[in-house]
Amino acid sequence: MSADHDKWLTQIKKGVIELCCLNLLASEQLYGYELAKRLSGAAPFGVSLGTVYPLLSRLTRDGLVESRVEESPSGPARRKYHLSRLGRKRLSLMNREWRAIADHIDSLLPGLSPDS
Amino acid sequence: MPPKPRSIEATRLEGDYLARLRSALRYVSESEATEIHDNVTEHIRAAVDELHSDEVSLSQMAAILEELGSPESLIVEPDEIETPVPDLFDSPADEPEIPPVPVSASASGAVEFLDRLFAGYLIAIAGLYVPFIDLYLCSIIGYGVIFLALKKAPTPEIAAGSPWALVALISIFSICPITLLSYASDAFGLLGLPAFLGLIVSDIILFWILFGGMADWIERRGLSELATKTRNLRMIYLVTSLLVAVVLLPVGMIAAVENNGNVPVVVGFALLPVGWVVGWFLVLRPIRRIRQAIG
Repeated sequence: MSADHDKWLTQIKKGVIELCCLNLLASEQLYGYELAKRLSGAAPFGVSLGTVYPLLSRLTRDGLVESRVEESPSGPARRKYHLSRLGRKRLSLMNREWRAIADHIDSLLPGLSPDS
Repeated sequence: MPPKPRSIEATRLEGDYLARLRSALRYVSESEATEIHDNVTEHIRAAVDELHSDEVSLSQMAAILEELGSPESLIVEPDEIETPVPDLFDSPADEPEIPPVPVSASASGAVEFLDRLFAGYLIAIAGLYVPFIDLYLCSIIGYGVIFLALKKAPTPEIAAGSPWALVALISIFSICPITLLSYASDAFGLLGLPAFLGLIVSDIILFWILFGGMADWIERRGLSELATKTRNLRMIYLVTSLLVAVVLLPVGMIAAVENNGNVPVVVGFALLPVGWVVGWFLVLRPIRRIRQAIG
C-alpha cells in the first residue's frame, strides 16, 4: 500500500474510532480497558488497543467526555468514563451526519465500475 | 487482590515499557500525562488478571504490550505520528526520536505553579526575620499566595491541599483581631489558642497533602528518587511542627491565663532560627529542586 493510501486510511480510522467510542459511552459508563476491548472488537481496522487512551484524553480535553475515579477494595483506583452533556449533543449531530454521509456514499458505490 | 506475579523477564519488560511511557509523557500536559499513565497501568493490570496462568511469562507480557502499542504511540493520535512507531523490543538506546509535541499551556503552568508556591512560602517565612507585625502580614500574604497557587495546581492530589491553605489563612487572619480584643477582655485571649491550634494543624495537613501530591506527580515523570525524598520530608515536617507546638502551646496557655503577652513573644523569637532552618530545608529548597528537575 502507498504512503498516501495509509494516510487516507489513518484519517478514516481516526474519525470512525471517535464515533464508535462516543457511541459506546452513550449507552453506559465504561472503564478505559473495557472501552478499549469493545472498540477493538467493534472496529476491526487493525488499530492497537492503546489507541483509545490518547483519544480519551483528547475527548476529555474537548469536554465531550468526563471521568471519575472509583476506589476499588480489591486494587488501585480506576477511572470510569461517561459522555458529558456536550458530548451527547455532539454525538447526536455526528450520528446524524454519519448516516447522511454513509447513505450518500452507499448510493455512489454500486455505480462505480472496477476500472474506475 | 494482590497483583499477579510476573517472571523476572516479564517484570523487566513491563518496567522498560512504563519507563518509556513516562519519558514520552513529558511532552503532554500534566493532567493528560496522569490520565494516560493511570489508564495504561490499569490496562496492563486488567489484561494480566484475565490470563489463566498463575505467573505472567515474558511472552504473555509481550503480547499484552504489543496489543497496547508502543509507548510513544500512546501520547498522540495516529495521524500526529510522522515517524514509524518502534518495535516493542527496541532497547531504550535505540528508540527513535519522538517528533516534539508542542508543550501545552497547562504543562508550562506546572512551572508557574511551583514558582508561585515558592513565592508564597518565601513570603510567609520572610516574616520570621522581622518584628511581629511583619510576621503577621507576611504570613497572611504568603498563605494567600499559596492558596491561590493551589487553585491551579497541576494535579487534583496537589489541589486537595487548597482548603487547608484557606483554613491556615483564616487562622492567621483571626490572630490579630483576637490579640486586639484581648486587651479589652482576657476572655478573648483564650480564643488565641484555637486559632493557633487551627494554624498548626492546618499547616501540617496542608504540607502533608501538598508534598505527597507533588511526590506522586514527579514520580509519574520518572523522578522516583526525588519523589521518595519529597515524601520523607512530610514526616520530618510533622515531627518538627509538633515539637514547636508542644513548646509554644503551654507557653501560650500560661500567658493567656496570666495575661502576660511577653513570654510567648520571647519564646517565639527564640524559636525563630528553627523556623528559618525548617523553612529553607523542608520547604523552599525541595520546591526549588522539583522546579529544577522539571523545568
